[in-house]
Amino acid sequence: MSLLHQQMLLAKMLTEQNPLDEIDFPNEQDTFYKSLKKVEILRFKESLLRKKFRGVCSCLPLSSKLLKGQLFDLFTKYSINTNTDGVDRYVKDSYQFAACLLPKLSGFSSAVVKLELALLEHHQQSRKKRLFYLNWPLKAIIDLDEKQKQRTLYLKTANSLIEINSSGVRKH
Amino acid sequence: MFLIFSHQLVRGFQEIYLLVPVVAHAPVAVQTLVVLHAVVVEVVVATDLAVLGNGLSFRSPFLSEVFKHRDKIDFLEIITDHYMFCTARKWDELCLLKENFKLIPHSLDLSLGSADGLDLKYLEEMARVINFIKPAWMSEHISFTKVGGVSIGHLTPIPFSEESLDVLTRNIELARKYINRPMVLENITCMISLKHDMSEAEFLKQLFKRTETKWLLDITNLYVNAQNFKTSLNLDTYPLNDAVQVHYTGFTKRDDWLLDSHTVRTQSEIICLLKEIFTKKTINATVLERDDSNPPFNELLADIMKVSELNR
Repeated sequence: MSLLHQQMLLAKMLTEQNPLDEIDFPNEQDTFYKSLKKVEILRFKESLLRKKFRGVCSCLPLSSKLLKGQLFDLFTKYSINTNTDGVDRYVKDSYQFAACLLPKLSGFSSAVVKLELALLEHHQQSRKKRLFYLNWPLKAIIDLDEKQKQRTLYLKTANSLIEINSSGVRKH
Repeated sequence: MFLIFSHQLVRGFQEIYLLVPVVAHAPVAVQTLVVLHAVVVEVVVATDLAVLGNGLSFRSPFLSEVFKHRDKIDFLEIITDHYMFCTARKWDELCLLKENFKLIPHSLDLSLGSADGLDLKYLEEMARVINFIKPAWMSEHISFTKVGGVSIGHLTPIPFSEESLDVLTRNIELARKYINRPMVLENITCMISLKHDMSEAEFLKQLFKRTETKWLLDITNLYVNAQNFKTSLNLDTYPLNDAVQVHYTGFTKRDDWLLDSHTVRTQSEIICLLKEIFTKKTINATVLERDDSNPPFNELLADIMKVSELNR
């Protein structure tokens, strides 16, 4: 297998959306796949997620290591990436992620955060955009850019807008 | 008799000066000055690189501290990507650092190991930043981070093979058309076992010879790989003569696996390896890397001072 082919397969495996414990090895007879170890791929994906998660943490007021640990478990379970297959699943995953994330963000407020989720808008062309409205203190918008095959999760706080997509995390 | 040889490559033409001086009691020798003008070349090789001393990998939270302690930090390594396609405010930060420190740009995403070539938009912007800084050298990684339009977002290993050498050589040649600075390449941690045709040490030797680049020896990465894949680390097998810069940092352990996390203090195992390197080779520049869980800055300074003492 050429180096280009190996790299493209590796890149796909490392970035595609699937739960961490389900790695698809298409052809295990191939020598390239034989040289790969599933545990290493899983470890690499986890490392990628931790890197993304560090980016998220740097934008959010999370001071507790325990809280960060709990959040990371949620983050890995509902990881955000750019696969446009299974829009409904992605939407549900993001909803679940936000639903779990909000109550944990005690750094935002001393008040108990009540979670109310409502789907405000459902475009006719449903794959274009989904809007999730979350009660204070965070508003989350998930924007689907089908042309660029990119999803961006926007988290809006009182003072800033945080943008999370495959390119990383940006704080405006 | 001895030969004084000064070799300097400049953009536009190549000049070689050969000076053969006279030994005191030898017969009269003739000093010959030969100047050869060659075809225009745009290669800048890493000869006679500056000795920069002991530095720190810069992060924005360190900004005020590095100025307070500038007498203890010889230079700063900056992440080129932080200043590419950046805001005016970020560019101002770069200008401020450039005015006050020697800077070495360290890039993350050029992906020299990509078999489908380089991202030209990224390369042009990277070159703009590097050529603005005018550093003694610039550095990148022996890895790939993107291919076929997919960005992995992490340094990913390439197999140690002839095909990888061909890819790296081609990409480095292209990068040099844009970046007029010596290039230094860093070894990475390998989280994935790939099938290799040669050892890492042999691969590095061939790489530096073919591409006329030098080595950014990340000693923590070498140690972590050796521990994780249960191999011995024999520095004598590696091309230490090509090492001009060293990275060091702490590693963490998760289950049975070591990670070069850049989040903890440099352990004694790494310091011992640094000592060994310094006894074998004069290193032009050392850099402490720290990305997260930043301790009081004095702790970072103490580590830099410790390595500085070893690197005398």
